[in-house]
Amino acid sequence: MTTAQQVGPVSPGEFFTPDERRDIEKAIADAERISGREFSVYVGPSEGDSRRAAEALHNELPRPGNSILIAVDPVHRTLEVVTGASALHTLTNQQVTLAALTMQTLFAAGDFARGLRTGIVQLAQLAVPVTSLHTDTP
Amino acid sequence: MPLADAPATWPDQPSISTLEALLFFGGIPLLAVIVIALLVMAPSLAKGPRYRAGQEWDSEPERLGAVPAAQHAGAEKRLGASAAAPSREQSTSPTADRVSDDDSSTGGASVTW
Repeated sequence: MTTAQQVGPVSPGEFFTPDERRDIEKAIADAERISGREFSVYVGPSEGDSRRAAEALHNELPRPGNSILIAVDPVHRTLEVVTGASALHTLTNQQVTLAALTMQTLFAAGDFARGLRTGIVQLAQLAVPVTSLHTDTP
Repeated sequence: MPLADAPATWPDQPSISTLEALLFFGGIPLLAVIVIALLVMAPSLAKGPRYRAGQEWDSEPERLGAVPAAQHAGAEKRLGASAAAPSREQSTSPTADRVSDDDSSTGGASVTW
């Protein structure tokens, strides 16, 4: 029986199974519907400073201000979540850290698909603006 | 005849040998263990080995959800090799620390595992 240690580099398009990819796409679609923000997931190696690289990637998105990027580097074991300026109004860095820790736990167990799904849903729920009637009503 | 003895009407069964007893009481449970173990391992064997964190990676990165405009043109760039926006490079000093709020326009979090 072959063990994972003997396996070579990951083959193209094989990091997620079709089922996992579909589940993550569904989580992203649900998250965008709930929060009104755009979600983007990147899984792959980063070169140089992972934070800087993730921010550059976030800036390349069609609407960076309204977008939340989750960049996972399984090679260097780093996770970067970048939130746009508009998304920052409802999603604080502390809340993002909370979701990142959830993902970190599942990534450490080797379950990338479930980690991403859980993290995306958590971020979406936290990104929903809280309506406070007593301040909104004149 | 003791009261707890088997009824006298029951036929006498031929006694089985030690080898037969071993096969019956040892072989069948062993077979059951092997079948259950195979059933448990079958899904992971069918899926094949998976990537584990820290291993070498030389394939295309996975992109899901919103994708950059450049990817629509088929120009996928590796993370880090892509050019940052000029405004971002101006606002971030080269010696800036790896903290999430070093840039006022974006937020987020960084974790490692």
